[in-house]
Amino acid sequence: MRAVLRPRTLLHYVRNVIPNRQFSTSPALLKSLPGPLPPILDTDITENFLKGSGPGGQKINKTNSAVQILHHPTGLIVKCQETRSRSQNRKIARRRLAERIEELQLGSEARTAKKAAKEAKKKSSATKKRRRKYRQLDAAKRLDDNEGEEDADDVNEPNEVEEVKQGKLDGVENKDKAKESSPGSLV
Amino acid sequence: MPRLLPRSILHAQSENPLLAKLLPTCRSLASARNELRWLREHAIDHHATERSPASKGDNNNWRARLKELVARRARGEPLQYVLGTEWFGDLELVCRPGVLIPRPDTATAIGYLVQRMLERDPHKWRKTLRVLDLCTGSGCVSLFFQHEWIRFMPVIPEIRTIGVDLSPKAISLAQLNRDRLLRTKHEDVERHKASQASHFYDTAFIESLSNTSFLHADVLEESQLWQKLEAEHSLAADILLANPPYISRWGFQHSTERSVRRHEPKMALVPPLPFSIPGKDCPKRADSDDLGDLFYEPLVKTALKSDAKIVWFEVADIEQAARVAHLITSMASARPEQLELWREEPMPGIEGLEGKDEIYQGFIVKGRGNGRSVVWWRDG
Ligand SMILES: C[S@@+](CC[C@H](N)C(=O)[O-])C[C@H]1O[C@@H](n2cnc3c(N)ncnc32)[C@H](O)[C@@H]1O
Repeated sequence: MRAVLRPRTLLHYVRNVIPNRQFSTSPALLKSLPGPLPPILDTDITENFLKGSGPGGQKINKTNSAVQILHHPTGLIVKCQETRSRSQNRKIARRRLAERIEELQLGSEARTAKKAAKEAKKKSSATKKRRRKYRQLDAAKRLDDNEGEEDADDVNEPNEVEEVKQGKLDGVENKDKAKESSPGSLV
Repeated sequence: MPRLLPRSILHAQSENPLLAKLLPTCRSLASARNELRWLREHAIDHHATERSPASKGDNNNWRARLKELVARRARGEPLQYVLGTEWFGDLELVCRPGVLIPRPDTATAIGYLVQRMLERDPHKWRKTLRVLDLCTGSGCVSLFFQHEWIRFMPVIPEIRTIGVDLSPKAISLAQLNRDRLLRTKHEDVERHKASQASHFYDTAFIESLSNTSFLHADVLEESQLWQKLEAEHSLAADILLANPPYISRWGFQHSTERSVRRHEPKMALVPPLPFSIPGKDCPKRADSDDLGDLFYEPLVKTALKSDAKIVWFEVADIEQAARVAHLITSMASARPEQLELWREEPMPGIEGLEGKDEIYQGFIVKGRGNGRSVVWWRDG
C-alpha cells in the first residue's frame, strides 16, 4: 500500500533529468522569479495518509492527520502533520513540495553551461543556490520514521513537521527498509 | 501498534512531563507531540476567549487548563471529545460524548462519490436535488456532501437534505453543526465581500444549509420512517447515503479499539440484537450469524421506496461489502455492474491508472486499504 522509500539518485535527476524535462510551467517560472509556484500534476504524485494497517472505519479513532506526498519525477517526499485537518495538511504539503521542486530546478539551471557567463557575474548568488542545493540533498538523505518509536532522537520537533526525503515508488512499503539508508546528518 | 520503548518514555519525560503522560495513549512520540501541541493551542485559545477581567494578567491559567486536558486524554478519552471538534474534510464539526466522532474514511468516500458523479454525468442534476442521510450522527455526511457538491459540480441545483437518526443527542448535535456552519459562512460572506468566487460558493452553501433538516426516526422501522419522511415531503430522494452501525458483536469485542469501546456510543457502532423488541420473543430480523448486517436490508428497502438514483453505504470490511452487494442484487434485482466496492482510499493511485479493476465475488473493487463502502449506481 505504501511506497518503499529507497534512496535514489536525486543528483542524477538534477543533472540529467531536469535539463531534458519540460515542466509545464518552467519557462514562465524561470523568467519571473519569485513568481507563482508551478502547479503539481496529480499524475506525478502519490499521496499517502500514513495510517498503517489494521481495521479502520468505526472500529478505530485515530488522530493521525499526517499526509505524505511522493513526487515521482524527483523522488522527493514531503510530509506534513502540522494541523488536525488532513485536508489542510495536504495543502501545506503540496505547497512545500512545489517549493522544493522550484529549488531543484533553480539549482540545476545554475549549473548549465550556457548560464556560465551570467553565473560569473552573479557568483555570490550562485553560491547561495548551491549551498541551498546541498542543504537540500543533505535533508533528502535523512529518512526517518515519524510513526515509529525510534525517532526519539530525531529532529522531529513540533515545529519540524515536514521532512524532505528521497525515495522511489517500488511496490510495497517497508518502513524498516526505508530506514536502513540512514540517519544522516542534518543541516 | 509499535511497542513503546523505555528509551522513548525517558526521552518524553525529559522533553516534557506532559508528553510522557500522553505517550501510553498516543503510542508514539510523534503522535504524542502532535496531540500535545493541539491541546496546548486549545488551552491557550480557550483561555483567551474565557479570560475575564478578574483573571487578567494571570498568564499561567492556561497551563493549569492544559494539565487538565492532558489528564483527560491520558485516561483514554478521545482527543476529539477533549477538544470538542473534529475536522471532516474542510469542515470543522463539533463532537460531543454520546455521538460518534466522524471518521476520515467517511469523508474520503463522500469526497470521492462527488468526484465520480462529476466524471459520470455532471449536467444531469438540474432539478432540485434531494439527499437522504440515514443514521446521520453528527450530521457530517449530510453537511459534507452538499459542501463537496457545491465546490466541484458545474451545476448547483436547489439542494434539499434530510438527515435521520434515532438518537436525540445526535439530532441536536447535527442541528448545532448545521447552525454553526451557517453562522461561520455568514461571517465569511461579510468578510470576503470583495472576492467573487468565494462569495458564490459561500452563498450557495448557506442556501443549501438552510434547506437541511434533521429528523428523529428509527431506520429499522421502515414504514414509520417512510410516514415521517412523507410528512416532511421528503420520501423521494435522488441520493441516499448511510453510515449505519455495522460492527458485529464479535468485532466489537475483538477488533475494536478500546477507546472507541469505552467512550463512543455502542448504539452508533453495533446493530441491536435482532430479538430485542420488548414483549416479542421471535427475532425482529434475521441476523442470526451476528455479522453486523442488520441495517442493510431496511436501508435497501428505503432506497427502493425513495427511488434513489445513487446509493452509498459504509461497511466494516470487504466481506461485508460483498454481502451487502449480494443483498442488493437479490433484493432489487440490480445488475452486478451497477455495484462497486470501495476501499479506504478508493481513488485510483498512480499504479491504478493503467491497471485493471480488482474483482471480488463478482463485484468491481476500487482503490487501496480495507473495504469501506458499497456504491450502487441505480442510474447506470
Ligand atoms: C456509525 S454512526 C454514523 C454517524 C455519522 N453518519 C458518521 O458517519 O459519523 C451510526 C448512527 O446511527 C444511529 N442509529 C443507531 N440506530 C439507529 C436506528 N435504528 N435508526 C436510526 N439511526 C440509528 C446512531 O445514533 C448513530 O448516530
